[in-house]
Amino acid sequence: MLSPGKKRESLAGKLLLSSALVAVSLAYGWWQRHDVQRPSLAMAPPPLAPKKHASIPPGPAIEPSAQSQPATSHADAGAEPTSTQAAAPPKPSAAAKSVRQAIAPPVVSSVPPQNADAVSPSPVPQALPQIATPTGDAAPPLFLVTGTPGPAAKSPAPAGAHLEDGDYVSSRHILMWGEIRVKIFVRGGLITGVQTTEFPDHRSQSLYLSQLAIPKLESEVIANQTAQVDTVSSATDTSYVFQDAVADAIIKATRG
Amino acid sequence: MRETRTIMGMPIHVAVLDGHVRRQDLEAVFAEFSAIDAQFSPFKNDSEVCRFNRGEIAERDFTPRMREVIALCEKTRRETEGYFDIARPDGTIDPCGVVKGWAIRNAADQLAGMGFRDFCVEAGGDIQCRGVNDQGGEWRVGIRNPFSQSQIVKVLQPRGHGVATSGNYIRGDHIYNPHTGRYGSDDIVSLTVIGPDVLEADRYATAAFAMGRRGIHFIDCMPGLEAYEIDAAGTARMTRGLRDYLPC
Repeated sequence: MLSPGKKRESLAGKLLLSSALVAVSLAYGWWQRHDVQRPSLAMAPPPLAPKKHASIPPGPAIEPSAQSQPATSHADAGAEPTSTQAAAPPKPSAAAKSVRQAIAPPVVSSVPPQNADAVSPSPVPQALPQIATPTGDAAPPLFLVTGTPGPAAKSPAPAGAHLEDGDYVSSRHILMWGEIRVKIFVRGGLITGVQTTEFPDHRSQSLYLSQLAIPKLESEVIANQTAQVDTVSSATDTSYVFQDAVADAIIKATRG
Repeated sequence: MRETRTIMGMPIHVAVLDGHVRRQDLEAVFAEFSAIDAQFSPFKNDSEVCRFNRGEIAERDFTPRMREVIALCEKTRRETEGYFDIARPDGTIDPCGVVKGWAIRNAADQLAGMGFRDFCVEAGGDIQCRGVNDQGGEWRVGIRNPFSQSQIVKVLQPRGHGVATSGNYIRGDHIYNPHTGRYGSDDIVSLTVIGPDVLEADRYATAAFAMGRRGIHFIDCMPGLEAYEIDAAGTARMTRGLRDYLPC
């Protein structure tokens, strides 16, 4: 058990030690803020590995790009040499520059380059910009492409017509690649689904329209442009025949 | 002079703007379409294709035009890793994927051979225009919105190049791709290709469409071809060079 005098000495010692620690911390913080030349190696990002690209021919090693250089890349790093410093930027060669250009953004591609290269006769695939911004002549969003259509929108039956519940199969309709036949499902007087029962595509095991994604083409829809074009390109032979087949099935489902 | 006929199971539009065009000139063009249909249709029992498929004739019996089409099909099959293939699982052939573009290109060459400069031939959504339109400007080709037939999503000026769109409005999320083994929710519903002529655009559009997501990358890597793609989610993408064909 300590005497009161010893206790006071112990308390004073602890206070002194705490004060010293605080002082050291403050001094270290001040030093960190003011010594801009001092690299903070522990916080520096590691150099990025060069992007691999199957189409890039083998050549000299690719140096990390300027953006990937750690703060220590400035020459005066002064302190201990590190492996990071060893990667400080030498003058890029012309070959490296061309490689960087080849792998530089903006490439917005979801397909791995090696996949594209598998069919690519070209050594350097080009960027495929994703279209996301409205064009100057884009129309305001149209109601029919901005929301989920309600049940009524799925039923093309004219007013006054009624659809009998059941499944209805259209007759065969001929298109360029073969024949098509569709089945519609009517429940509660509404078309609840459309299934293609025959289609000239041996790759397809089943085809459904009911889960077709909701269109999101607002930014690319150009309103009232039809009169400004001389002709129109589309896969019309399929879609029109499909519409005819659906209409045929609807006629079979219609009563009254 | 403009004329539309339904041949090969699809509407075919021919517009010739040169002043000296005569009706018999257009008749000759449509007659050629009818002859091609009679020879290559898989639905006409007496066509050369059907006769071959029934085993009534052999390859050595092919007419020169049939040989030309078969050679084009084989060339396309090799260039597209087999994505374009006229061989059917039942052992028959169906060269329709090439015949339409080939027929349109032939019609355009036929009109040019007659001395016409300003004309446009369109069949089933595939187009070959040359010269200028009736306003003296570039021919303008609209790409139809596959989700709404009354809308145009893009306007192109092919400037003498061919335009072809391959697509399937009814394809949804349940398509099986034999090359990936997956049912793709990333399906492509429309792929428009611009090529040196409509034949090139058509045969590559057909193959690239079958490639799914890879298709537009394939087109992007092919010299002289550009593409505009719309997927099932309604997202549009285009190759960088397509901008050269957009109106200023």
